[in-house]
Amino acid sequence: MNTTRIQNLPAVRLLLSLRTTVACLFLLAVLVLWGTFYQVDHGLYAAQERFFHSWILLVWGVVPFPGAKLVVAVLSANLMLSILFRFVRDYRLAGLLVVHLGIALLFASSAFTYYFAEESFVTLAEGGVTSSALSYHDWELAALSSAHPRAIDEPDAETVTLAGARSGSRLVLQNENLEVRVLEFHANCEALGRGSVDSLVPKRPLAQPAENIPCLAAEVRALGDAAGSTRTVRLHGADPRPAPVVAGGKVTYLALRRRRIPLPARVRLVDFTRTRHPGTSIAKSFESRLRITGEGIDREVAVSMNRPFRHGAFTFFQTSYAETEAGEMSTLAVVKNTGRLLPYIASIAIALGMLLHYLFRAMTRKRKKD
Amino acid sequence: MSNRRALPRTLRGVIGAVLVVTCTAGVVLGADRPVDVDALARIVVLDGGRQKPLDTYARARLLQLSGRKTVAGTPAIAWLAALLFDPSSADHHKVFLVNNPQVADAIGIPVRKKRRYSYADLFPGAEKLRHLATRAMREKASKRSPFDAEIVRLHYNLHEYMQLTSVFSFMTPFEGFDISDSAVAALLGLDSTRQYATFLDLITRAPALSSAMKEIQAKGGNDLNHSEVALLDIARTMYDMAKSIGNPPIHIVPESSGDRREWLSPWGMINRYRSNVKDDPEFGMLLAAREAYRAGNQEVFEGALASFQASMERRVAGTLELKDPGLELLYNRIDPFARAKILYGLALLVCLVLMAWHRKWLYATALVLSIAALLPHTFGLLARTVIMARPPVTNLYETFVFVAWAAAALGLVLELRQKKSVGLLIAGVSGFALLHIAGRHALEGDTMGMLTAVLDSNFWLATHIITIALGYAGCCAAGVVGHVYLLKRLFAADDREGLDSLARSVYGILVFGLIFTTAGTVLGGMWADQSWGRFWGWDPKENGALLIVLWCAIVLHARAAGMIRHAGLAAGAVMGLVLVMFAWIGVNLLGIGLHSYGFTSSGAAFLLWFVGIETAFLCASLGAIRLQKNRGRNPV
Repeated sequence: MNTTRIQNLPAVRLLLSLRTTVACLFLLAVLVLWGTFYQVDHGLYAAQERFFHSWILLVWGVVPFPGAKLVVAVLSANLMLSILFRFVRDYRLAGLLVVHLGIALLFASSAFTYYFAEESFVTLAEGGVTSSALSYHDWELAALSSAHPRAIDEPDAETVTLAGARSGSRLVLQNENLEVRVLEFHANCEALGRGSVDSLVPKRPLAQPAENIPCLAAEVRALGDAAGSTRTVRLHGADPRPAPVVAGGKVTYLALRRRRIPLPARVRLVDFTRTRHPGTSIAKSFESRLRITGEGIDREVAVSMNRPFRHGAFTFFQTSYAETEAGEMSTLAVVKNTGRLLPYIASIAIALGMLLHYLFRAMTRKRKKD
Repeated sequence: MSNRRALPRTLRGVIGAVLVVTCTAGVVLGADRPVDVDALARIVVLDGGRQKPLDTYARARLLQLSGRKTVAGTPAIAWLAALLFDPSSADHHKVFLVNNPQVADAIGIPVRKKRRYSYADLFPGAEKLRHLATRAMREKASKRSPFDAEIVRLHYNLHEYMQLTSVFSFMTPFEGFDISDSAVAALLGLDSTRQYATFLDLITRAPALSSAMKEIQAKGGNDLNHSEVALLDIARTMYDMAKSIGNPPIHIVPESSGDRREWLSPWGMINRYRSNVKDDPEFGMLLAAREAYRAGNQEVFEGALASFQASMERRVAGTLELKDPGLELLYNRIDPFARAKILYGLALLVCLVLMAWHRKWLYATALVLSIAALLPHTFGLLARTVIMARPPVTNLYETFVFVAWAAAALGLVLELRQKKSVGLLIAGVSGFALLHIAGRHALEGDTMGMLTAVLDSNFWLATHIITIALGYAGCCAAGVVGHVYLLKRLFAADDREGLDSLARSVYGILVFGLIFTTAGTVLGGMWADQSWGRFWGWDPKENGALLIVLWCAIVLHARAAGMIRHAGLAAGAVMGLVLVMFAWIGVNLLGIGLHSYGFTSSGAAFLLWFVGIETAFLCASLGAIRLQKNRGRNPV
């Protein structure tokens, strides 16, 4: 089948049409505007989920409306077809070809970031050390070696993610030989009880999902021992004491914790400094001095606003600080994104394409004048 | 023929008048200013985290209180001098702007026809005002009613005013320091014929007071005589006063202690040096200046301030660089944006006349006026860049000023290429309207504020904000030409060549807007990636910029697809202008997101009016064009 015949297929003609481009851009503009106003009452996260990270959204719970994912997917198809059938055929459109390739790469990079990048954070007191970061949104069930509150940070604990957990889910801790059947799981809830979690009261998830504290009620038994005795545990994300469970003749301590993301190096906060503009409370700068120790690296680095530290796919950003009785605590955002250069490459392509396009136009105009 | 010969003379007159307005108004203003206050205007103080001349401080305070730059023709610095050195003489200056007449009713003072009140007018209602403000402040600022917001604003302004009147209040005899008892006066070495002492009298006699207190303490508080009770009262009042006053504005003397550097006010110096304050040279010079001002002795006043400045330079030598206030004083004196606004306004008027009555000399006048407006405008931006050592685009006020400049410059470039008055119209409308809006944003005080840590990056300010501002300027300019096209299409549809040229302009400027807004948005993504760790986060400000990019792309693609023609393109450009205003002002009104700064309640009303009027304009003009077309009268 030659390209003209492909081009004449009704579906291709529709997808290739500039009218489709206009319709998609218009829908995207509507989603952007709607999603912005939606943030006023529902917060950024809810707006992102409903409008920008969805394929379809329901208006008033019944009327379907295309979500940004769907619109961008159609727009990407439209873009790719235009590149294939429109721009490559005419050398005068070379600049626009590069611009649109850059836009396609920008779409691809945002999809890559959405699916593969991991955002987490590290909070350290001066002198504190860590080799893992904490997820903002994801929680995990961890099997720990003691009931001590400090055990919650055990780096080599066996864990199972709670993403997607719901009543009836079955979670398995293979090494600990434990099977956990979820009775209740709430993304945000409050725990009642003195000394132990006696009951769990679900709460409405917050606009900032990072602030949600989940809870889990589950039956635990030895793996593969269907007839064996079960033990019911209630765990709450804010409870610092791991709960003991006896199964298969062995004690395991279970706790909910934010998912740990292993860092490529040990990070120690050497010093945190905060300066203000003289005579005001306006922050002039925050800076964390870190000692990074790992494979191929052992040195001090400074991370401040607009000056992140990059190591492999990881980037450390200064985000906030707190003053506690124990001293100053610094919080660094840690982003793992192997495709972090993609938007930069896309942007350069767009800029170069525009330059090329207008250079061509200027040359053509000059030739016409001559 | 005679007309033709007369034209150059008229033109010369116009150009001359414009030059006179631009170049000499500052001199006239300067001549009106009392010479003695000029010396005060140069004194550098620390306010809002930056060193600035007292002249800037005075202007910002006066603007914040009264919404005006002068008090009944008196320059701000002269008003401040009166407030500092002789507060009672400023009691009747009408400097408190009260926008809501219900406020005057509520605090029990007579409602004035004019909206400005003096301290003397407000004083009887001060207690009620404090009570109402305390109640209003329990609510978050964004949730306060307009009445409560006005109450809080007035209360805050009154508090600031009173702080300024108290800068030298330690020199005023105070009834809490009763020294009519001759034994008390003798102990302190004061004249008992004066009933009341000042705080300074007492603090400089602190050793005598302190030893008297020790004796009273030794008695265990028993069997105290009248004089001892009086001394005890004086000491207690002094302690309470010093503790509550601390180091209020104006911070005028830098002081180092260890790693810390602090700027002290006269009260702060007293609290720091206690009885030794009398030996501090700068303190003495300030008091001398105050006395000279009150006595009307200009020579001594100037001498004291000159000595103060020289002494300050010696004091901080090697530890702190005192800013030279010269450029900022010049900037204040010229007031470049106010001047530019007037000139843009005049250019716009001439342009409107020009559209109905085309004459060469009118065209030349509009061109000269526009260029003359761009000169102080450019100077203002450059001066701000030098003063703050950063690109002049760090707050909402500055973005309005910068976009006004970019749109006017774009208009003039277009005009020099096309010579069809459209560029002049862009310069006039954008320059005047945007500088007017900027002026409204300047009412909050000094517009040269310090930056928070996240914004403090000259590289990203220079790239992202300037690029996006150029994009906004392009969209604004395209919107202006869009209006012109639609109006011309309605009222002069026969001029096909003119209409085609306008449509080409709309297209070209819209492409300019799209390129710069896209580049700015992408650069913004890069900045966000550098400081927050994500390229894109659907934050309202990011969405606002994306909306403009999408809209420009929609209009240009729709034109390429043949879905719209010239009128649609022009209407799209007008709509683009509405979206720019939404992204620029509206997003801040939502009060959410990482970029949420520069909230103004009047902004909401402006935006609603703007959207309403533009929508009505689009509906009416497109409807009328369609009607004319149907009747075969609008063939384009």
